[in-house]
Amino acid sequence: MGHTLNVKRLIDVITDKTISFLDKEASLKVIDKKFKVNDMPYMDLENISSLISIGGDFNAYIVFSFDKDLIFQIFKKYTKGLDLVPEEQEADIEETAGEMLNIIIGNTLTLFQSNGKAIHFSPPIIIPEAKRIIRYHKAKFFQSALNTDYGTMRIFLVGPKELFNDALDYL
Amino acid sequence: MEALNIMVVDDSKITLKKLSKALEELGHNVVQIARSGKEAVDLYERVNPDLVTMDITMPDMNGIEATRQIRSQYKDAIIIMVTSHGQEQMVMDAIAAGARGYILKPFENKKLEESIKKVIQRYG
Repeated sequence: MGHTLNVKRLIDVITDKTISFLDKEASLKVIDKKFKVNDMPYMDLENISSLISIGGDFNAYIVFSFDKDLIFQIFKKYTKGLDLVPEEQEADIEETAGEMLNIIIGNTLTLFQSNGKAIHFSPPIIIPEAKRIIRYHKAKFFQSALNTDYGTMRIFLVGPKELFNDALDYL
Repeated sequence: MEALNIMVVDDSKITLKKLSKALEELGHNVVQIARSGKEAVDLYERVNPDLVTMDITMPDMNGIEATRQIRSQYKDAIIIMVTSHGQEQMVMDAIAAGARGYILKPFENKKLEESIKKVIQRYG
């Protein structure tokens, strides 16, 4: 994983881009934000989380974890006017969580490429269940929490990547 | 501008719908959608669209490789990348593969229209 200062900056930029995305694409205001560096003994994922693995210096997973009401509001506003089938709503909500993360990370990494090399990242993966992940010795957790009127979304940076699989279980 | 027949390529159903809606609001016809780069390559010959919008990160085959394969067979194909990747190297890779334009998600209809106009005036 990258140097803590870079990681802090990465989380700050992701946080700012997320606030902007929520405002422009979902008309949702963030009331306040909180940042924690690696002092969490565990992290709790809510019912829907999306994650992307990023390479380069960061070598980590970025995770967006949403309170249920909040992701529903984001989904409703982000897909307003689209012809969607009610029976597929659950899958569409998950896809919204993934696409939101994909767009924000894609836009964010533009600011972090080094030596002209692109930083590659995976397609988004969905974790459709709440779970607690304990931090063991070598793992590093960073968290930014954004509060809105509809609940909280948490942005986690988790690494190094080789400790975990794509469901964030330890290997 | 004359209405174009457009193929939209993206692995996200929601983005496909958002992009299709935007293109139709701009007066174009979305004649085909594809959920992966491979599907886009397979469908291109049959559909023969005036323009393709192409995502980059997709399963099976990414958008840069799909662009390369389509352009190697159809020299006049007009492909615009519509992607969340804004990194300079990624843009250069897409252009080297044969993309004619590049739009960052989240897109606005106005930007989409300007980019389409620009590439059609130049390559259409």
